[in-house]
Amino acid sequence: MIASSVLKDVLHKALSTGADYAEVFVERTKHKQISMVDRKIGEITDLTIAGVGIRIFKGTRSVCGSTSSWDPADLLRCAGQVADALNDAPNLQTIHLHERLFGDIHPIRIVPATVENSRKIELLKEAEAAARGFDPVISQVAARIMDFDHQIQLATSEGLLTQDRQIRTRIVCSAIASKNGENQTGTCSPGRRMGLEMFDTILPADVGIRAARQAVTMIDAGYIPAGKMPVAIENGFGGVIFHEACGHSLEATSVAVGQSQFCGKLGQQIANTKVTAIDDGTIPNAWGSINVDDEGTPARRNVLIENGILKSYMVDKLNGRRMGMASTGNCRRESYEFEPTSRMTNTFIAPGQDKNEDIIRSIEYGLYAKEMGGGSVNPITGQFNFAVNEGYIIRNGEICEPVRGASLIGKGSDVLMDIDMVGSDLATGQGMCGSSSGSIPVDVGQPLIRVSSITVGGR
Amino acid sequence: MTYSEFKQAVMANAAAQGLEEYDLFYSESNAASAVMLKQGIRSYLTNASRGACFRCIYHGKPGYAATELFTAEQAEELVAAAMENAASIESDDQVFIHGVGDTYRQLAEKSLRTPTGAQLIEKATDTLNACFAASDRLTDASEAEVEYLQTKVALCNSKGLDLQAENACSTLVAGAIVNEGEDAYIGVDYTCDDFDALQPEQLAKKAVDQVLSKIGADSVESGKYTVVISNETMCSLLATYCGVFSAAQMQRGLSLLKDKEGTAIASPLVTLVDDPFYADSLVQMPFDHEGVAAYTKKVIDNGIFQTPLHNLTTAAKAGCKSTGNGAKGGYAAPVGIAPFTFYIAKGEGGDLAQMLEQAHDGLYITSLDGLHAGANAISGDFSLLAGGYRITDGKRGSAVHNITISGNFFDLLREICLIGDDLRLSQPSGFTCFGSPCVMVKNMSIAGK
Repeated sequence: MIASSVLKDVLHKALSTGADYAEVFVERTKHKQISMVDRKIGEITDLTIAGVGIRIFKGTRSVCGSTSSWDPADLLRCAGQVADALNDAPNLQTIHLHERLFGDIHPIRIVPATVENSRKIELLKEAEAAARGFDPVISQVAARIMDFDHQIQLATSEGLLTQDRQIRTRIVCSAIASKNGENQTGTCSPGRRMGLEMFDTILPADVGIRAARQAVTMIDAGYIPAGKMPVAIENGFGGVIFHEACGHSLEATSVAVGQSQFCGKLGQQIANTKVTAIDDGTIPNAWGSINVDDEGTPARRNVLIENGILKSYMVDKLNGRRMGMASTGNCRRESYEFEPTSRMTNTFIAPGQDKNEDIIRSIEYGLYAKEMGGGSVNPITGQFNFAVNEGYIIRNGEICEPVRGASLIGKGSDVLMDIDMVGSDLATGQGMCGSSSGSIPVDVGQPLIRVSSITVGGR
Repeated sequence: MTYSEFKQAVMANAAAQGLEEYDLFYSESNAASAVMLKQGIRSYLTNASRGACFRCIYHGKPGYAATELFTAEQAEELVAAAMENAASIESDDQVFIHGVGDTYRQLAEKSLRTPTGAQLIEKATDTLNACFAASDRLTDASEAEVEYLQTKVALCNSKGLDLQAENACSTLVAGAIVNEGEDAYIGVDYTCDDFDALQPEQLAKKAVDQVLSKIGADSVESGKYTVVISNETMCSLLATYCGVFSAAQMQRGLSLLKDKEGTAIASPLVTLVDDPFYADSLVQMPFDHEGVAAYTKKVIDNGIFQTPLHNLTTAAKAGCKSTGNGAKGGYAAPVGIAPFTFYIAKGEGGDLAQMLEQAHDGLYITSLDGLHAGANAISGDFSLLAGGYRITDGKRGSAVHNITISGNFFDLLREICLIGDDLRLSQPSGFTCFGSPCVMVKNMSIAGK
């Protein structure tokens, strides 16, 4: 990507006002998206993102700059601007860049950028046609197929020089059911850190059918009455509850500056003893996996909570300095334009011992949340919310009629204690997680779980 | 390569490929921001980014390709990729390269000063200090942020159009946090203005007053309530649902406002305006992203739906003229549709105090969370985490949190029974900015205890 002699000059410039650490992050990403609506391919976009992010530390102070130029003169100018924020004596350390390659545990058989549009269009149309054909009430289908080829190069004043290439593929299908002047939607959007071989195991038609089934189910559903009740949350994307209710509050971004409800709780019980939660960036070809993080630390499997006890936060280098802890390989950024910080990778609640039928049978009146939508959290207050895209009333231990318009809200520290049954069938779902360092791919996951009581928003 | 060199190379390549209709959209931004904590600076960030998107019409179909790398090689690849993409397009939607001839409004010259890094840090520090000076109950975690953003867009095309526009804006955010036992409370406020006009003390006081008023917040019984939705909160709801006014969404059957032009879709109190030149807005645009002259229009007039927002493609399909709302969500995106400063006009309800007096009993909603997930623009349904205050005997009462508010945006528009006169604008994003006064709605579903 950029010659190591240039990177070395840029690092020296960045250290010229007394920083004790400097880092250069180089990115070149190719992104393609093909979209269809009204049964026709409507938009195709190609995008090349290229730029450089330069960051320095002095103790726990951080300064970051970026430029969308690779010109050595522009890089030196950007390093100079970053350095200008400090005004101490220059750090004259000699930098020797030694290249280190951490290996790639995510084999790619079909690099999407080398495949012609027509093959991707075939895959997209399979999903679209399956959704359309599912039921006559499906009035519209919007679908898109995306691929990303994200190449990064990192050089640090500690002498590390490394590279990684992250290839991802995703298909998104949204179906709309219309009846009596009302619309309801259903969406399915699987993705992998894979090339087009992803579609050997994830059939586009299944994606379309899943989206359509959800829209058709919800068009005939009534609204859920509001109130507090027990909720059974299905596996897969259901894991967004842990991601929002707890995951973000365990990121050093919040913890290091006292902005998390889990500050100072290491070794303490913060969740029900049935809960073990893990963030694992090393799962081969998973959507949220990385080989190295965006600071050059190899990805790891971190047990966050073990049988209810808080074991680890997710830590990046800068916040690690603030906390006196080492990086856990969780530093991520959407692109060179963002300041990187601690983020999740693939985060899930580990399988437990409860049987699915026992979980449903245990609920006299409550909600079965089969498909979840996205959510958000404020790590400071711990208040989270997320949407239920497909829900059903549970009555006397049986799953009954579908209900729409439900959202679940609560406080992270409360809901973790209230997860009192955990099934054994772990599955994951894919999402784009937004936070201060941008939008990044993450997996969420869990088996079927029961939350003994939670506020359900409805009408 | 500079942009001007890159532009020449791309346009020359396009002509050499035999293309007759094409354009190049360019966007550039320069930003700097500082975040301060009591312990010192949390981060200082500068960004200089630029990108260009080439669009051509090839055999009647549009093709796009975009890049941030301005090299001779990319100038060739861009044209080739756009042509290849156009060849796979099936949609019959007509795409147009807009010619010269529109009259563009001249914007008043603004001499905005670019703040230095030291000035940004000083402003953020002043804000943080003002927060701590306003109350000794704040925790260490309170923070202040200041951001300066300068943007430039340019559009040139094969028909001789060559336009550019620049905007600049500074945003100051004050955040105040109080921890009480196991609970944390936050007060946040922001202001967007010229850098020199930002007032740290005023803003800090608002954020601190807000957090102090929230201490001890609790939930309410589930039920139906009269609610007053704050101006800022109504802006975020409007932002979430603005796509329903897009002709593209209507033509695809993705907006329930399809075929509703000329009919009542809102309470007669509601007038919704799209204004590219709204005086108080920091973002002013004489043209849209297709180069069509921008102008002010009413989208809803006293409850009656006047017009969807059009670009050239949707207008041709509908047999009307573009409303000058062609917009790219980022330089690399295809041309879609977006409003400029999009606001609900002031009503007769007076200021907030008068609105609360009229409501007498109910809830004053000041925050909504989870809009990206719990609000669906296609169905109009929403079910959202909310916070605010009780309204007791016509006055703002104790704070409320951990409740949800549920309903449907289209129902809400019809059921607005009073609109205040405290119009506030949201932070701009691209050329879009939302505005609303506070509004009153009866019988909203609230979930709490």
